[in-house]
Amino acid sequence: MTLAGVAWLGGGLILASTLAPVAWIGSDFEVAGRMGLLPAGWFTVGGRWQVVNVGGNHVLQQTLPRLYENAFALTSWADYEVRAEFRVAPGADEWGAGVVAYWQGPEAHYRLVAADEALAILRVRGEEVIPLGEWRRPFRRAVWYRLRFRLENTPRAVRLWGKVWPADAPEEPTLWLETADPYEPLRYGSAGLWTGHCDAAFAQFALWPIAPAAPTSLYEMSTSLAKGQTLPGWVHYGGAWEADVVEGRPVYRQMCDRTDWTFNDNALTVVQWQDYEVEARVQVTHPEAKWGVGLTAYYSSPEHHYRLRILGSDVTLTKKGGTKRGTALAEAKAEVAPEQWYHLRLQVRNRTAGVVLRGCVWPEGEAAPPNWTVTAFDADAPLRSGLPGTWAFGCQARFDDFRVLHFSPLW
Amino acid sequence: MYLLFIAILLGAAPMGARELLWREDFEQQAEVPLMTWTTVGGKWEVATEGTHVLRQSQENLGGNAIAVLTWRNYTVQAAVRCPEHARTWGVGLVAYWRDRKNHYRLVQVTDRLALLRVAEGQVEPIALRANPMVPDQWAYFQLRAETRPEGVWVGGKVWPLGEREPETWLLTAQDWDPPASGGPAGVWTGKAAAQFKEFAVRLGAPGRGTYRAVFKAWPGQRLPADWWAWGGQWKVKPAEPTLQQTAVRSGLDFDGNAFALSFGWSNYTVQARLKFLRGRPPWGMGLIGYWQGEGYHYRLHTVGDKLFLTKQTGREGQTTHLQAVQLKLQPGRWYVFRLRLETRRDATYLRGKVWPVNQPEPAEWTVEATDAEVGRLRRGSVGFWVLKGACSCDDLIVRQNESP
Repeated sequence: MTLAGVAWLGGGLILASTLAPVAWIGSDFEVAGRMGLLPAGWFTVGGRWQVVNVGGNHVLQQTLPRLYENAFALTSWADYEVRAEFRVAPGADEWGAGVVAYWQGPEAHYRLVAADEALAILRVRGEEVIPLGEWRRPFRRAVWYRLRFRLENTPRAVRLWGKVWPADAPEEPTLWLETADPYEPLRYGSAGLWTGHCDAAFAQFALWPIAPAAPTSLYEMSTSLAKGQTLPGWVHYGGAWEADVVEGRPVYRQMCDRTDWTFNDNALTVVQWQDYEVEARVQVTHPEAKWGVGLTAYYSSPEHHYRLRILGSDVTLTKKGGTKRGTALAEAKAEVAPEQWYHLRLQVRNRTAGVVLRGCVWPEGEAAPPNWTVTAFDADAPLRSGLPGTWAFGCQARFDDFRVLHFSPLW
Repeated sequence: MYLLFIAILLGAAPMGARELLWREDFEQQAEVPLMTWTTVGGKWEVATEGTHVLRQSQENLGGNAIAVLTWRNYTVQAAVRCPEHARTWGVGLVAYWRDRKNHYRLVQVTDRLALLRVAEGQVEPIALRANPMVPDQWAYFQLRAETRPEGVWVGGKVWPLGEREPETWLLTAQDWDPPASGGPAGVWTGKAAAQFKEFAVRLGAPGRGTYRAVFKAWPGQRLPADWWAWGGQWKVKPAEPTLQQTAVRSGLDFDGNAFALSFGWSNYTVQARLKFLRGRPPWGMGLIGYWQGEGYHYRLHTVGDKLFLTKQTGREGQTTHLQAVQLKLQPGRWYVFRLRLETRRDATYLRGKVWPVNQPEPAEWTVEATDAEVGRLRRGSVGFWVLKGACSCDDLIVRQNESP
């Protein structure tokens, strides 16, 4: 595959430009497959997904025969480290600031918290906030701190490490608050910022893979926002978040330090997956009378996602927007035969008025077509973010060389 | 016995040594149908079979249907003082509790009095006034909630202990989109250490019945068995007796809310008559105990040729059959169902028996089970359960058990 650095834009023009998608995450399923596992960060909904060895090559396969339901395999971030700097504004009351990771929702994530009297790693599970590890030690307002929050999946648990130290002091290499979550741990998810009852500024927020010698970050927070703007692609839960400049540094700041009627002083903001291109190779095996394969984007549930769907000889861009039946946004014809390998590509781009979707399919061994097979614009309550993945119905579909590329200027 | 329920309901006099908590023969319900019943699934109505009965009348019912006795149309009152608090603080009462994210509150927050509507986690003042208050002096809080055809009406008042109760509500509001149409009552604190005493719930019209909490906990327990708390540090101070919340700081969760809810009843025996009318196999019917909302409950019920004691956790039905015995009931015939629930320190004990009306009651319990799981239920309301058919229910009686 030679997609990096090539952008597919507007109706099929191939442009080399500053909007080139950048390789983000992906998998050829080889490393995890040799251990008989799905790669870290993958999870499935419906069907029976396994990484199998096909002639010495590991592929992701939906293996359930007579599959008469939608089966999805989705991917998110896992095995990563969150890094950031923060400063809590002067004040008098109790406070806390930190980051969240493996975010699967407001009631399912981990937190690294530095508070006026403690450093803690917490798990939020439903209405419970469970301390997994805690050190009694003081932190001060009006001081810049650096933090690292590291999460690693192991077969029996998720291991978590956290540290916070003054930004003007050298990092103590071994001084980690270390803990593990063996009880139905969360194993993937996004990351973000958190404050408790304080005005706090954050800088240098980034996600890094924990793999040794990982060359690039998974994500870095933009520092080019104008004062007063909110980060595009972030979702906010409570508080008042906006870009600002604090002590000469561009920061993302949560400014509300007052208790309101809720008496809940938590404020969070989390990175969402949006503006990306997902591609993979696919092969249909053991097809039923009616079968389908495809790619998904902006997935948040089986009822909410976009899909590039190959169903017989129809290529469709569909939307599931919470209704029982999906909506076909665009359709075209393409001959896709079982047992042959094909390339699939699905692109989702947010625009002010809606979402641009583009998809194409072409046989392996042939050059990518100059034009997109299907294009659509969804302006009717469009989905704005969600996970990429694969989809199968009525067959034992195989996927390989799955990659997600994002459009860096929007990040 | 940890709660006293002074029931002067429908003219029923207490029978035997055990205290009557509730009796329902649906005779007066015909005029105000299902006023205190919450239903899930099916089509429930008050019908006539000689006398009035509660009937699930949908014969082609695909799954199960539930009718649960619910606190509705009541006034909750307690005396409150707040000896210690944060800069912004609050105390108050809770009504129509569905869950932490859905209920009503009457609150004093620093120097303001408000009626709060909590819906899907969004907290909104629906009535508000300035109301300076001396926090460490006792004051009565009173909150009334009424379910009306157009929604829920709420009213609240506050007055210092020793002074005369105001004749009019200080705050009132009509909610056309209520987060709940009924549910338990309780107390609330926000970043405040507070004490509560003389907690009482007056049900329905004046004179129909009053529930009064006696703040007494078992040794080693912080709350009475029929109270449930979320957040804060709650305990009973028996000498006074008061219910106290002692935490001012919110902790690392940075959530300053603390709730204690009265779920009304624990350690009781519920009995009723049930008759299956028409449906399709495998049909079933039974009694619910310790209903806590969102589907959590225990159940004595038949399905096919078996009698079950079942625990259900969750609306979608994580169902655990705690015990089952062979017993086949006939449609078109009335049966008496009796379910005894007992909350002890180590477990919740369940016993059930079923026998045909007009036949002698069996001397022994037909089915018995113990639930010692971490998630066992300890308190809650009562109701009826029907599977795959129409069923009539009548003569519900709830009595307090003898002291465990």
